[in-house]
Amino acid sequence: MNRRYSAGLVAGSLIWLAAAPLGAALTFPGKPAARVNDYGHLLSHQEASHLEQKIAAWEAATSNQLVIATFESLEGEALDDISIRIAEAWQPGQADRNNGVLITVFLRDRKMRLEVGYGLEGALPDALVNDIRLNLVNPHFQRGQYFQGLNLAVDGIMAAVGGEYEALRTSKRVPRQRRGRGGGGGLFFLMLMIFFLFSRGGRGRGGLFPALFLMSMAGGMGRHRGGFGGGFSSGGFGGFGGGGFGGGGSGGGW
Amino acid sequence: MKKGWMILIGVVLVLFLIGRMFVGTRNSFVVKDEAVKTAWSQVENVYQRRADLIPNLVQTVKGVASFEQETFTAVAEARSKVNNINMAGVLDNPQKFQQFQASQGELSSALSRLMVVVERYPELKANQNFLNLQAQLEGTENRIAVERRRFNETSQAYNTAIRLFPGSIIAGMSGFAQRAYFEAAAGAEQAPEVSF
Repeated sequence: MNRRYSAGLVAGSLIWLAAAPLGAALTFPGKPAARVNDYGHLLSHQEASHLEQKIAAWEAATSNQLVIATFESLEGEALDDISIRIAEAWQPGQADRNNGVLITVFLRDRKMRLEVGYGLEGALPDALVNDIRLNLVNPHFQRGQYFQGLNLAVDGIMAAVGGEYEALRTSKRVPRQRRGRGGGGGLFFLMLMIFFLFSRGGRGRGGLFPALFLMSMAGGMGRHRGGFGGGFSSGGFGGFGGGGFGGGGSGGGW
Repeated sequence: MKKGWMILIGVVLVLFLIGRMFVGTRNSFVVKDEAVKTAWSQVENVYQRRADLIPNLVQTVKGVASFEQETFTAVAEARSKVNNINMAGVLDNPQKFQQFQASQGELSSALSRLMVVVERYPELKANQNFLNLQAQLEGTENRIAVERRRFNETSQAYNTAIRLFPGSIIAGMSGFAQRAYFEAAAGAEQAPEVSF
């Protein structure tokens, strides 16, 4: 009896060990006090608060809970696995409606995932969420415009739940970038600069200045890295309600 | 006489306490076993979801990549194998559980081979219908991974409970058997190789 018992225990723990990915360790905090949790420092203070307020207003109107969590790196974890584990730990969404959505972003791995709660799987089927990711988020993320990408992800989710996704998609669609990682943006601005130099410089009206101005603006749009450390609270947040997730949604690289 | 009564009351009290513990422990096993059954039904659901997705997917791919007959046949065979499993009693029978896992694994690898083959057809990448189906398949595979993990977790909680002393005695007396686990299939993590 005793031997069988200990053999069983050993077998059990072996299975447990096999199930746990070895060497992978991303620690994420417990239930946060904010909807926008920028642990990866992708957003400026204003950008985070803009998203926070937008999501809070939506939550007040619909009771759907949307959470954003950005991280610097996956630290060896698998995207799908860590995203669902964060969703299980934080449980966004109301317990009786399971109407939560979690957006995870991992900057250095260039991967993100939209995790959809059980109750919203009807309004946000995988194919639609995939479309949001590929056509609304990725074009911006590829240019380093993390706020714009996240903002559109939020808009896309809200529009889809409200049944107005098609209209949003056609109005916001950005032509997909065919170039490699990040290089396209620089090339674009180089061309813009040449264009300004040639079209305006010839007529003797300050050609270089507007081009430089535009470039600096575009550079500033990208991201602000500062001391801002993670959570961002907007007063009346009552915490997450206990929503359930089943692995619906879409994830991948950008 | 008085001493005899005391002993009798003592024995009755001890028996009563043991009985209560017995019932309480047994009930906790029932609760944990029900959790395993619930988790299992979720596993069945997501696998069914995948099986339902396949005809549409194959139909769409066939329209463009009609030369890949071998791959289609492999998927169709694996799917019919999965559909022919009698799901009743799979959870209670370790051997059937193994079979279930093996045939679902075959279907998984047939499907991933199909998804590698379609990489050769850029037309498919421009086909919205196909892209939607691909996203659905990815989502379903992810749901399968999630529900399998949850099943393993509940199964492990139940197995641990019925193996721990003194519950193990009660479990043995009332016929609570161990539940199976899903194991990661060897090589399941590797994408299949396709020669071009």
